[in-house]
Amino acid sequence: MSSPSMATLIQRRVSSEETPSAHAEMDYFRSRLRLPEIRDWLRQEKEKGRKVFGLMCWSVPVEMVLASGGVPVRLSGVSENDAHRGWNFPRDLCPLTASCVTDVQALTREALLDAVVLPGTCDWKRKIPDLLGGVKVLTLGDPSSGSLRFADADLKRLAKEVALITDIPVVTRNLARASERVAKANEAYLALQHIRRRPRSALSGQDALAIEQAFLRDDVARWTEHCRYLVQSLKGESPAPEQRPGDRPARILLIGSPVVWKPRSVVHLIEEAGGQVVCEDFHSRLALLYPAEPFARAAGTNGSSLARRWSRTCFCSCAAEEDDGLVFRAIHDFAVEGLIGHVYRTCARTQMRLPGILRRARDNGISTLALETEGTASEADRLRARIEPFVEMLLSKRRNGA
Amino acid sequence: MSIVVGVDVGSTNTKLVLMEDSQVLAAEVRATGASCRGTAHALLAAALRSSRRASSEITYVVSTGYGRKLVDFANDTVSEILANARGAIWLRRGDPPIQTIVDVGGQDSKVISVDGSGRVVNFAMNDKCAAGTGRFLEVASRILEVDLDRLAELSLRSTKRLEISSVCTVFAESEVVSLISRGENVEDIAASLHRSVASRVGGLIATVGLQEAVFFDGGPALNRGLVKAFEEELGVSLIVPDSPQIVTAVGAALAAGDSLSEKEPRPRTEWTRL
Repeated sequence: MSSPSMATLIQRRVSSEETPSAHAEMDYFRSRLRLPEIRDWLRQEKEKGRKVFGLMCWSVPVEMVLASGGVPVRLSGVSENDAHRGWNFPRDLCPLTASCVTDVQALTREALLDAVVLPGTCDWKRKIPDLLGGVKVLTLGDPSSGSLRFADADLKRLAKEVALITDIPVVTRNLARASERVAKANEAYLALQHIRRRPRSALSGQDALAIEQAFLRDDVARWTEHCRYLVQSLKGESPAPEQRPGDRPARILLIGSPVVWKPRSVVHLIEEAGGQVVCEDFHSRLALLYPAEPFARAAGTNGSSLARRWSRTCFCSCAAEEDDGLVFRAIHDFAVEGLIGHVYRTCARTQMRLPGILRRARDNGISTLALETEGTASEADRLRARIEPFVEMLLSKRRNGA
Repeated sequence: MSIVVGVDVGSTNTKLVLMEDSQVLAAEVRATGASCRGTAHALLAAALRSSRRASSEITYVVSTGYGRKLVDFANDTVSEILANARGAIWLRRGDPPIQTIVDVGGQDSKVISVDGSGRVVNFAMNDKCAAGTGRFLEVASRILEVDLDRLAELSLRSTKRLEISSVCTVFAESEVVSLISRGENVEDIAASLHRSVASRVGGLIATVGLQEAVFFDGGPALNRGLVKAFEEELGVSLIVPDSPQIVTAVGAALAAGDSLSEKEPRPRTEWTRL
C-alpha cells in the first residue's frame, strides 16, 4: 500500500466534509508498524534517489538526516514480534537491540538502507555494529548533559558523514527547515499527550504506543498531519459519564526500558488487567513531553541549540535528579495512581536507575511495581501475575478513597 | 445455607477450600501436576466427599493462583495477592492486627503490606529467579539427598554459620556442592540454605517496609527451619497459621462469599479498538 502524498491528503480533507475519525487515523498508525508498508514507502523514496538512514532511538538528532535530504526510518519492532527468533544472537542481548538488528537485516536484504545511525548511550548500542555485518554505521557518542561541547562536535561530525552519503551538505537553511518539521511533529505529539491528561481519555496506552512507534516510519510531515487529525477527532469526542469510581481504569505511568511494539507488550497486559497507561517514559519521551530546550528554538541556526536539545532527550544521558523531576511532574499532570517500572534483564542502565526512582516515588506515597522482563511472549503469564494484583490494588484504593 | 469454594492453583500445589457460613468444611491440597484442571476437579470431588456435601449445594466458586483461568467450574477469579491478604486477615482475627504478610510459594515469594482495615496498600514479588522460593529448597534438598522435612530438622541442629553467597538457584547448587566437598556438616549447609531464602525475601520486605505483626504463610511456612531463619533475619516473631498452605484458598473462598452477598461484578476494562 503506497501512502498518499501530503498534498492529496490535505486536499481530500479540505474538499470533502469528512468527519474526523479516530478509528481511521489509528488504522493509519497501525499500518505504519507493518514491514510491507514501510518497505513500500522506502522503495518509493529510493526511486526518487533519496538515501535512507535507519535510526535506533528518539535521541538520534533526526534533523541532521532531514537537513541533508536523507530519509530517516526508525528501527526496531517491525520485522519480528519475537526479536530473538531465527537469529543467532548473544543470549544476553537486549530485546530492543535484537529487534533493531532484525529490522536492519530485513531492510538491507532489499537494499533499502544506506546507513544506520546509532547513539552510544548504552553498551549494547555500542556493540551493534559487530552484529550488523556490512551496513554502513554512523555512531554518536553519549550525549551527557555535562559535555555539551563534545555533543556539538559529535553532531557536526555526523552532519559531515551524512552529507558524504547524500551529497547534500547540511547548511543552516536546510537545518532550520528540518528542525521546523521536527518541531511541528513534537507539537502534534504534545497535543496528543495533553488529551491523555483527561480523567477519561479515549486514547489507550496501546494506541499511544502505536502512534509513537509509527513516528519515522513514514514521512515526518504525513505522520504529523495524521497526529493532528487524530487530536482534532479526539477533542470532539465526549467521554461516557462515570458510574462508579471503580469503573474507570487505574491510571498508570510506565517508565523504564523501551517497550517494543507487539501484541502482548507490557502496555497491553496492563490494559487487559484494567489499567490504563496514561503516560510513559521509555528513556526519552518525558523529555519530549517537557523539553528543556524547546524544539522551535532548536530550529535556529545554531548547532549548539540542537546539541543542547539532543543531550537532554534521552533518559540515558539525563542526570538522575532531572529524571526524577520529570517523573514526578508527569505523576501530577496526568493524575497518575500507580507507577510501573519496566526493565529488561539485560538493560544495565535502567537496572541501576530504576530502583531509586521507584523508591523515591514510594516515599512520596505513590504505589509502585517493578517488572523485570526479557521481552518474550512466553513471559506474559508471569507478568500478568504481578500486574493484575497491582491494578486491583489501585482500583481498591480508589474505591476506598485512599 | 450456601457453600462457597476457593481454589488456589499454585505452581507446585493446588489447594481447595469448601466454606459454609464462614466455617471451613473441607480443605484439600494436592500436587498441581501437568493438568491444573484435572487436579482442581479431583480436589473438589475429594472435598465434597470428606464434607459429605453435594456439588449442587455449591453456590459460588472463586479461583486464584497461576492456573486460576484454567479452573472451568470457577465463577470468578481473584489475584493471589488479594486472596492471600483476605485469607490471612480472616484467619488472624486477633490482636495485634497483621500489617505485613510474607507468602513463600513454590515459585513466587510475595510480601504484602495491609492497613488497619485489612486492605492491601503495597506488595512486592520476586523476579523471575527462583531464589527465595520453595523451589530453591527443593533443589538444595535433592543435592543433599534428604527430603524437605528432614532438611528443616537438620537446619535446626546447625552449630556453624556458613554462607551461601549466590542469589541464583542454579549457581547456589554449585556452592552447595563445594561446601559438601569441603567436608562441611549437612546441618550447617541446611541452615545456610534457609538463611539464604530468608535473606532474599528480606530484600523484598525492605521494599514494602516491615511492620508488625508479621504473618507467614505458604507451604514453606510449615518448615520450622525457615521460620527460625526468617525470625533471625527480620528480628521479629512470625505468626504462622496451622495450615499455612491453604491461606490463599481460604481468601478465594471468602471472596466467593463476598461476591454472593454484594453481587458486584469485578471492574474490568475492555479496550475497544479506536
